[in-house]
Amino acid sequence: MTAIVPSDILFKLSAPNANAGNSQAGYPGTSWGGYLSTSVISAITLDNIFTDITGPEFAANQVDYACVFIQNNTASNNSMMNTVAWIPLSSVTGSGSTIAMGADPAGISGITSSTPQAAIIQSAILPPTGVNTWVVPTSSTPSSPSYTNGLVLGNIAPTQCVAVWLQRTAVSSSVPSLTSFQIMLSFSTGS
Amino acid sequence: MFNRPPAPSLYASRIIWPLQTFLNKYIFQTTTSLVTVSVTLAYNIQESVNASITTSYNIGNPISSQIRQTSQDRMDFAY
Repeated sequence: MTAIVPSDILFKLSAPNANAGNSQAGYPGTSWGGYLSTSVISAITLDNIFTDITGPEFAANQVDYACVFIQNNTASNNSMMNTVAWIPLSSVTGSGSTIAMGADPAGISGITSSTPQAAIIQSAILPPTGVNTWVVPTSSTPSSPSYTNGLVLGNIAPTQCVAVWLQRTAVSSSVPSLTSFQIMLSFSTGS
Repeated sequence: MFNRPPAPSLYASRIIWPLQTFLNKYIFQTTTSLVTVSVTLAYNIQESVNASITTSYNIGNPISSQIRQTSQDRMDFAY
């Protein structure tokens, strides 16, 4: 059995105006859920998911949301077993905002599904319906049985995907600066 | 008048014992054999994998913008 390598996993934006998964492009700043897009999130990190927080938004402590899809793109029929998503605290740099992450209630679906694969929001400041649990960056890898501050996403088979939501909150009481963080996935290779 | 059964010893030796011998030899045969039961199990050994994506963004500050504008006004007035 050939193990999954990180490059087999695609992080993609969402396409809120699509009618099926993996059929339309997605764009930073408007990744508002709905369906898996055809757009892999850029490795150039600046504004690749959220766009910049403007001065007025910062002063208003604005809360923004963005949807990210995780796609199992393996060609070797390997499943991502017991997949857990989390934000390593060590990856968070900068100040002026906080970040949290939640799992979309739609769960795992086929990448070309015509049934909505994630909640849809009409604006970045609107919370996604059904996302009730938000986890924060953690210094410890979430592990069984509690998976504290991790999102347990399940087993993602090849040609399947699952959505998570990011919640960004501007904190005007702190000094603003370029902010960066990482979404980490931990899973086991299975077939 | 009544047919009494033979005396126990004669009855047993001529009827019961031969009958028992016949039954044990030809009818009530029992055999024992060793039975083996097994179950096969197999499992994969999984490997742990980590994958990640990094994102970043700037944060604007309206207060610093206002200060810069005020400074420019003062400089223009001085000239």
